Amino acid sequence: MKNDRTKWTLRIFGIGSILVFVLYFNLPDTQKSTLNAISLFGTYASVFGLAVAGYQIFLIKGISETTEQEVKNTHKRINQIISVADLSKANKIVQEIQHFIGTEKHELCLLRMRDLKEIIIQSKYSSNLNTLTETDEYNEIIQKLSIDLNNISDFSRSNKKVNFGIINENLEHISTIILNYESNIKSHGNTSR
Amino acid sequence: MAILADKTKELIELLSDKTNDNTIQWTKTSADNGFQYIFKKGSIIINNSYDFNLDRAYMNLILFNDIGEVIEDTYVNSDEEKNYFNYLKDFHDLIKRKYLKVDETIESFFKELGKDDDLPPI
Repeated sequence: MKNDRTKWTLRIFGIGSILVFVLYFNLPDTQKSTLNAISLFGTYASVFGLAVAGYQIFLIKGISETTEQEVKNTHKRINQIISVADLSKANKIVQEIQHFIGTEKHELCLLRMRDLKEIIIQSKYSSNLNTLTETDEYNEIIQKLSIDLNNISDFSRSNKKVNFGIINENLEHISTIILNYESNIKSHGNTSR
Repeated sequence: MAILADKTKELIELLSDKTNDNTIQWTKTSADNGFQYIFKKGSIIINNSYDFNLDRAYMNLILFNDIGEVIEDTYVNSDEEKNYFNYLKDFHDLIKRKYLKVDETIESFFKELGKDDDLPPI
């Protein structure tokens, strides 16, 4: 591609040189001098050089725009991979919390719920996921998780009654939504629903 | 003495009205006797609990912001903060009544009894 371009440049330069040569020989005899020949050819070479430089700048601009777009695409893809990894991690944590509820390890359950909330809040602010997270459904997840965290915390501190059935239901709902988001990103490569 | 801010009271009044005319629906929380209402940018919960050791009832009203942080937590007991307790208890009772559809159920009982009136006497 580059060699082709060089060949074409040389060809155009050659044709132009011939035209300049013809032009010089068509000049009246009084104007034919070495100085005029050099001046004519020099002007041609300068104009040609400027044209080539302009063309090169145009090409470089095009290349830089394409490169910028590629960098953006790669960055977006990397973010998507990170988002999928975070969502998978969140889903794993949901399973751990359900296990801790089942085995009545409430302190561990509380710790993992805080980790889950952290991931869910971080995802809320991820520009890559905002079409999925700026929804009432996602807001409901955050609110219910926070309320459940508050209730388990009260349960651990002052032994207040807590319905773990409802907490499990809420966790199951979170898991379903996360899986849905994850599949969406994996299969479509974007965050549109 | 726990204090309910004017803005919070205003919110409770508005929620009471909306609950009363069935404009908003509350759901149960994982706490025993707790109800929640989720807004677009936060939520409110109200819990009623009883401490058998101290023989006291408690009302707890919590407001969460859009990222689930507690932005207001009002905790009152039936002995020391009776006015606030009763105020929140009335609000809780209204929500509970609406959640359990008490009025609709009693209405259905009336209807059923009305049907029985139409039956011929034995």
